[in-house]
Amino acid sequence: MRQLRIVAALLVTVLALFVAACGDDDDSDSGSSGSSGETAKAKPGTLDLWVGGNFAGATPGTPYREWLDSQISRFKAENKGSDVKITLLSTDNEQVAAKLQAAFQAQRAPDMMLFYSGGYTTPYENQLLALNPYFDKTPGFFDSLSGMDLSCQDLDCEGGKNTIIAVPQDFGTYGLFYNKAMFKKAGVQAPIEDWDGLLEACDKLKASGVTPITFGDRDGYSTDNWVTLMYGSYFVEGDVARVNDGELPYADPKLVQPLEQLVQLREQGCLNKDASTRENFDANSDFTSGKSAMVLMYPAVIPDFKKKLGKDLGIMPIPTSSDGPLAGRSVGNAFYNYVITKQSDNPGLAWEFIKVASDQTAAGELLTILGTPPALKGVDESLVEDEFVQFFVDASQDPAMPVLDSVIPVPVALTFYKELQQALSGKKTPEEAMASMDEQLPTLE
Amino acid sequence: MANRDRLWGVVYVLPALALVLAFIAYPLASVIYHAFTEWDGINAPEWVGFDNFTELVDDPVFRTSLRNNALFALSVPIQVTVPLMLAWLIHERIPGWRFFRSTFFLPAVISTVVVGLVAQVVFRLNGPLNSLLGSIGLSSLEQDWLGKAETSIPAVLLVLVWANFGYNTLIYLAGMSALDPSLTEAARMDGARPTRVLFSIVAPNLKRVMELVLVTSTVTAFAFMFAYIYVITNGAPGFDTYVTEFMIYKEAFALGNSGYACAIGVVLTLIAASIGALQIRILTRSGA
Repeated sequence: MRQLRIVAALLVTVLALFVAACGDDDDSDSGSSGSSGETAKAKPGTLDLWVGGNFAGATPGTPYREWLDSQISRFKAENKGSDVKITLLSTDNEQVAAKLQAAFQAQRAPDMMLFYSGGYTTPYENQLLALNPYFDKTPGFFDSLSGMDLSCQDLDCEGGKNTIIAVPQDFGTYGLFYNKAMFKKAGVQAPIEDWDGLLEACDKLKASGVTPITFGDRDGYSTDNWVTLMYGSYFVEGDVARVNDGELPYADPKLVQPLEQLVQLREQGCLNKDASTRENFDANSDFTSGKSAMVLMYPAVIPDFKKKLGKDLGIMPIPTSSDGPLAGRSVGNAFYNYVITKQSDNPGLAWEFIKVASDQTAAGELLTILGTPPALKGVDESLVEDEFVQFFVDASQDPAMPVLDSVIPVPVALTFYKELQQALSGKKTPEEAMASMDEQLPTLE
Repeated sequence: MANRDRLWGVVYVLPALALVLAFIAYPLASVIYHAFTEWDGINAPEWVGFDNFTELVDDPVFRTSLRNNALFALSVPIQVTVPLMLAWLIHERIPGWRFFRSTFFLPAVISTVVVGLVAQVVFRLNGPLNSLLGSIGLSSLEQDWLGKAETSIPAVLLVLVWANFGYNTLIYLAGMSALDPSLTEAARMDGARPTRVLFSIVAPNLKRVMELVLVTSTVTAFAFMFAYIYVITNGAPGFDTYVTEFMIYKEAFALGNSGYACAIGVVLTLIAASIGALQIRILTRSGA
């Protein structure tokens, strides 16, 4: 009995020490093939795919899952004996960051990820596989994709010469959804062309007893979506990069004035009174439940909005807010991209999956299942089924510039949201909020 | 024989020691080390000495967070005294005591996240609180309760008190059940009123329990506020409802400043430990 106790005690000790050893901090790269940059032969296996953003909601039965399952099924057919295991990340960016930090530290990163592009991808640059050798072995692939720059080092691919760390999946932007019945009742004509028109429509809608526009700005997201599109009316080509490089300060009138216009919307009673304390998605539910006449959103909401509003649903571009040289053109970029981590045991196979998930069939299904324009060029436009998807496809044809928060690093973006939130809620003036951004920049980069 | 016993003692202690080393000592040492580094949580840390701590001194968000923790700590006297009185009433078996015992304890068994979500709905502009105010003719008081610091901090404070008082009541009840009944009986026979019995007989004999409630409530106000803030306000409006724990989370995972977050963690631990130690010392000195 005594010996049994000794053995049990020693076993527990060994187990505890083993657990402790597992938590050991080690910065070495154990990726078997990742760091070399060499393409590995695609041997059969099961790939780990972590998906974030809207894809984090890809639970069985959803359009997102339908799209993912379709690509996995085609991948399996082309790569016998292989499979893809999906892990849904959180929709909360901070929780994703926490999980990724832990995964990379513990050498438990997945083979590949599909998550936000640009400034959301670049913080992990050192942990991601350079994809140039894979692109080199896939002739024509680089040129077949639009919006590559956000998936390269320094957000500039230099025509494929710079290090490529990701493969863009889609083209993302926002549309101003509106309720046709409410517009008709209030006597508002769509589309609303300019800012004065928006203010006029706002007065008419208020007079008809409707909240003109809903914001869910607790985290600053609604204000960010609006201002980043409004910059299209103020910026000249290259300004987004100049903001990112610190050459164009946030306190510049080009960035302050759009924010002032939004504050004017709030002060004029065009927004829901609790705009600053509601969550982003609350704005959607207020819109679909008939509490408000307009909401700014991305294409992923189309199926839900159509289901709830039917023939009353309309869409238009955000009204121009100034007369800059790019005014009237769309603002957008790839919201999502694929990456392969250096810790992947089978990067060659991961590349095979990315190729399948980026081909004509996948791109077509992105349109038909998710209503989202793909990054792949030359997709059959006859696949576009309705005016809403067509709206976003048209927007993807000639974007004037990317959205600012896709370009700037995540810490800067999250601080930007916070400052925007404070400006809209009246805690700071737009000028103070943007000046505060400039002050904080040195500590954020 | 003594040596052999000592050896066995060491063997028996080893598993617990290994667990403490793995899950307390190592993480603590790691946090202290990283507090002196610039680290993004992913790449190799860089030693920066006391830079993070000097930066903390001038950080207005840190000051706001600490101030809010201190404001939440103001609820501690309520959290110590109200549950004591409620526990006494239940202990005295007032009519319906069984019902009250379960009702009071209910908030303690509800997840903090659920409590937070319910609170968020209650305090909304179109929430039940404003509806109630409107229905009793107090429409002028209707407002977006979580929209500004003057109302959002008291709102979270109220939720904190509500969520914790059941647990504290239960701790007092456990303490009261261990009291010698002859003490209170003797007091009553001498003509002491119930309030006199509570404050002159029961409370002094529950000093150890009160000490526990006091320390845990204070530590909660400084180190266990994250879930309430995360769910109810997410730190908004602006940084108005930030607390230090929440700031640690934001710095580490939103801003990629894990080294700075570790420094805040070290300072927070020191503050919570100092206050706890001070309280215990004062209570111990007063003869408990």
